[in-house]
Amino acid sequence: MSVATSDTSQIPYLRDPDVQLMLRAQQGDDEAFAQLVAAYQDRLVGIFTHIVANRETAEDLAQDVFMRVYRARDTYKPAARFSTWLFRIANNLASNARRNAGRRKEVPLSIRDSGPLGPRPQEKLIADKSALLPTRQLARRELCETVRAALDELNDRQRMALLLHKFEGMSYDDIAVTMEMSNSAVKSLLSRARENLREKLDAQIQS
Amino acid sequence: MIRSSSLTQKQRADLVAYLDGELDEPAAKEIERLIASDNQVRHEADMLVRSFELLDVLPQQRASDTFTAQTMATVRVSPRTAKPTPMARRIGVYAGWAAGLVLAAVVGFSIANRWVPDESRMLIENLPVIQNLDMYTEVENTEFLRELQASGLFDEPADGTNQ
Repeated sequence: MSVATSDTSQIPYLRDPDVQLMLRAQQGDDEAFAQLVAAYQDRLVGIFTHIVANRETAEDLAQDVFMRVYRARDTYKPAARFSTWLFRIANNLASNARRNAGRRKEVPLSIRDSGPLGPRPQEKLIADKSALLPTRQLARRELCETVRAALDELNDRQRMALLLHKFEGMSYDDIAVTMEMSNSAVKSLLSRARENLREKLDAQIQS
Repeated sequence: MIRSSSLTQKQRADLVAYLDGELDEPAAKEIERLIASDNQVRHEADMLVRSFELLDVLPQQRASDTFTAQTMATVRVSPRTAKPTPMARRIGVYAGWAAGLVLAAVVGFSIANRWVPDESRMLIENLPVIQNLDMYTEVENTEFLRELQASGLFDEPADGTNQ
């Protein structure tokens, strides 16, 4: 079941196939909702993982987003693209999660951090295996950690705007709607985010 | 770190927006002119692009294989607040108004009954006086009645006969 195409001229977002799925879910079509979950689950988990740095928490937050969408289906009105609306909910949840729990950084355990008893057998095994890794893989892993650390040092809004722009391909207008800001504020925010990122990765870029 | 100090904050924001394809044509032309004429600006643009591309090294986490199934199982057990039909909603509104009116009437009656003096009650309480009002009007004051009673003139004989 889909909304008649004659209605799309009056509500432009009706052309969005995900809006169509959401309207079907509103009519009780759980299969349509399941399609939305499958389509967006990786994107949501990906964004949340960059924010909270914990895979399990990221999945919990992603599920929270879908729960809120499901509960809101009776009153859903397509006032924006579905993805914009979805990520606005995600942005709000991310802000709440960061505010409530604080940032937990996952620090890779090194031999030096093992304590007075020395390295545990597992740690020694990991260290030994690292030594066997090709240099290229090790370098890439270190680069990844450096980039992650640079991203972590941005403030919450800069990081979210950057993630939405980079990994969701959102335009400034879409980011403005998602983060409830003006277009000029998004432009300014992304400019500072990109400059900060550039400064922190300067050594990597130059090498 | 080489940084272009010739750019204003607005130009920096325009440079980033230009790289993102978000700048209108007049502003984009101005940025292109700057890039073409200033080595430092060109270098800055290059560094911004490369640092942005470095984000691609971050691994993209995927949801677990059971995520969709778990999510659907969770949402299905959540209580659904059914949207009332228009008729049901209208009936509910009318019922609410009716209940409100009844309650207002009861409260109003209670207040009136408690605080507003009831003239009927006053009449009922004074009914014995009202019934003998004509007789009481004949008596100018009660002092005369007491003197009559004290005189014993109207005392009844002990045997009950009238003399």
